[in-house]
Amino acid sequence: MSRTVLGTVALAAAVGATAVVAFRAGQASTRAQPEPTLVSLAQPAEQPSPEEMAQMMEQMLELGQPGEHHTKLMRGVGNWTVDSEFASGPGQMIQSSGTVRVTSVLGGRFVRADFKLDDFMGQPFHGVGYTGYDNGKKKYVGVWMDTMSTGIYSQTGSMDGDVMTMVGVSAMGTPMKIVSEHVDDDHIVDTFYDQMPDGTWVKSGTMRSTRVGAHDG
Amino acid sequence: MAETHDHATDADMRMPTGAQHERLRAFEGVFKAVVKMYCGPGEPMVSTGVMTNTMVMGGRFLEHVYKDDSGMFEGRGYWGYNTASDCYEGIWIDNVSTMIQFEVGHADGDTWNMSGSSTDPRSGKPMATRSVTTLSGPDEHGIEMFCCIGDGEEFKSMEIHYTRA
Repeated sequence: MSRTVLGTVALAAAVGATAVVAFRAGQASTRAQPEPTLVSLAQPAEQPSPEEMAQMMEQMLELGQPGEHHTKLMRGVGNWTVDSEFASGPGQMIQSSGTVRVTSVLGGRFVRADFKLDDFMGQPFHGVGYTGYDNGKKKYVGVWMDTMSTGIYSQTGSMDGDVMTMVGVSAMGTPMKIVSEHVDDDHIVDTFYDQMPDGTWVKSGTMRSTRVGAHDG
Repeated sequence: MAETHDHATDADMRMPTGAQHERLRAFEGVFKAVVKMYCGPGEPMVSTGVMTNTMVMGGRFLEHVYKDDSGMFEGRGYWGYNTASDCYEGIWIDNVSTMIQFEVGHADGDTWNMSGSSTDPRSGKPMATRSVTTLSGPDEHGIEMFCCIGDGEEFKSMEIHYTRA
């Protein structure tokens, strides 16, 4: 559980299963038996009391449940072929084609997308992205990594009908935006934009995805 | 397509991996985990699980896949070194939260100090988090996590000890 943060509390819920089960069991059996006062005196005022801890844990469990927003993400689950076109310089476009496999992971909380382009600027390209909906932030959230870069890029965004808009920072360190439209259940068009210093958005590329096989989401 | 092969910037655009990525290989493999969770005063809650760490995407990222022995908790994360910003970066997601947690940090010898932010579920306000990963040997490493709500004092939230399976 490394890299994290399962921060505290959140973590309490986080380490999950066992913790949650232990918590629930403890809650049932210790209700009638209040914590000794000494315990609450012993802790720094800033630290949550056992009662607050229990309340936070309940809230974490509630916030941790996938809901309607996560269900919407599942529309993309399945196998896709992709044709992409990206600007590589003034007047230059790079075209490439490949596949995307989208799977539901972690109990329907996130979708994972595995992008593979056979030949992107002379090399095979592999990218992995995860997209979810953060119930606390009330925003769609995503991360992206690929074989072109060494960074892990975050995005946040919203969904309006068939269109999801995610905003983040590009590998060049400037704001970028991806607008993904489900034209229908079997076709998605992703349009990429880079933000210019004057704030305007300029289109940098397009990806057209077509479903292969049945929708298995 | 053919003309793009000779494009002068092709090679430059692909960020190379370096010594920092090689260092992450020390964490590759299958590890048994003992997790101690501190939920307020008193003894921590202890659980166990298995962490599988694999270098992916051409040695750019260490992928973590964690499964709790109870079979009810699972999570996954990635750990990389961003050569553009000269920082280690990590993310974590799991099946009890809908958050994507992000950390940034540096290594000092065999110790990695990472910090990030999470959300206090009560207020929705940012909560500062910090973790310290220590590589004690080829078959053993550990991580301590701390958090700080609002202007409060930092406290240890979790400690995990990994030994190679």
